[in-house]
Amino acid sequence: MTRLRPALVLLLAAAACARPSDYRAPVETFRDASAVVIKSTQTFLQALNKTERDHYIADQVASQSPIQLSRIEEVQVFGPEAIAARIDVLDHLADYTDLLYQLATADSPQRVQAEAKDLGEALANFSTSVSSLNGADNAGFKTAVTTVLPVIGDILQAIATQTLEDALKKAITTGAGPVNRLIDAIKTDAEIAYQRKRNALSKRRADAALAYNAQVAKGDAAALRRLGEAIASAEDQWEAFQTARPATGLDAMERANLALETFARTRHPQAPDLRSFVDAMDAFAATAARLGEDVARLRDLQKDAR
Amino acid sequence: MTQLDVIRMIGDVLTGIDVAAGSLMPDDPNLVRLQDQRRLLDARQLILSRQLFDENTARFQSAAADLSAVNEQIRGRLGRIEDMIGVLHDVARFLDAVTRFMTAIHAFG
Repeated sequence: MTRLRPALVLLLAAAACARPSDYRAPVETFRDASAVVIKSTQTFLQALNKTERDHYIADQVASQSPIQLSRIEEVQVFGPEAIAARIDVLDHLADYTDLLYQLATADSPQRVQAEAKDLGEALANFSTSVSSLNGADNAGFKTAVTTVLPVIGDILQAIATQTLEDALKKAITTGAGPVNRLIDAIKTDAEIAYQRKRNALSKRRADAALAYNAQVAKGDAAALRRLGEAIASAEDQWEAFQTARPATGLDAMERANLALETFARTRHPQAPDLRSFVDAMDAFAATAARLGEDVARLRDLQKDAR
Repeated sequence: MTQLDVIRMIGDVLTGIDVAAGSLMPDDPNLVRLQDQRRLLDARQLILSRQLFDENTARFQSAAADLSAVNEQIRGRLGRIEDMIGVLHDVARFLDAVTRFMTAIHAFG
């Protein structure tokens, strides 16, 4: 019986519900990795119109054609308000993941409740500004935001009336689906941004090679060296670009969000449940770190190329 | 197939065109035509990037399937710079298929 006692204690502990401390490290990982993915996606979206402008200008230069300012405005994918709205919703998503972390780690509910109230007000204001967005390019984004934000608003309100542990569970189990729908909407826009940038970089590669080939017959060694370096720079950017894809990070964020939900819904989590929960967050962190590095590398290469 | 799949598909063809164009000499008579085709395809991709279309209609899915079939037929064939007439023909077929797809989903307004 004496020898059995430690095993019994372990069994009872394993059969109990997940404790807030079980969430602490994985939710911290989730928050930090989400911040990296969100920042990388914002970088892409903020550069979207610049990509289109530069693409048009480079195209006109390469074909020695006139540049029209009216055409520069026509080639923008989203208006400034539309891009700002997407940047804002990503900021709010980062605040939400930070709130989950606060719920998992805070000792006193007051601070978390105050933050939940602030975020709820910010989301209400945001919802109003999104409803004024016009245009077919905003239709999908508006639908996602107007469907999802009220659900998240309810979760935030519940934080004021529940214990931290119950509020955390409710936030994870009720919020995972809506949050993933919001991520999906952003993912579509981020992938469009990625495809348009891919188009622009691909054209730049061809233009760089053509500029070099046009110089070959002239026999100017210095010009050839400079144009050869431009080809090398375009190829470096093209290579770095292949992996700097925000949708990869957003996919990983959705999977991690589902793992969080699965763990929160497990009534009597055992050691393997906790381990697979931690593994899912670590996998997300690894994907986010790679994305963050790739986006930073691409940004540096493009800075050097100017 | 989704709208995003079509945008990606056009992106793949644009990349194939660029590799072919970047392998030609600037005085190649086929270069200007290839660049003109690229400009049209780029403009089509931009239109699809700026507007959301209903992917859940039979019309969208049928037109996207037709486009995908043409894409399969020209896949991997744009790198044949020794046969630029063939490359230009393949790009023209794809461009026509994109135009038919966009007409079917009323993308031109």
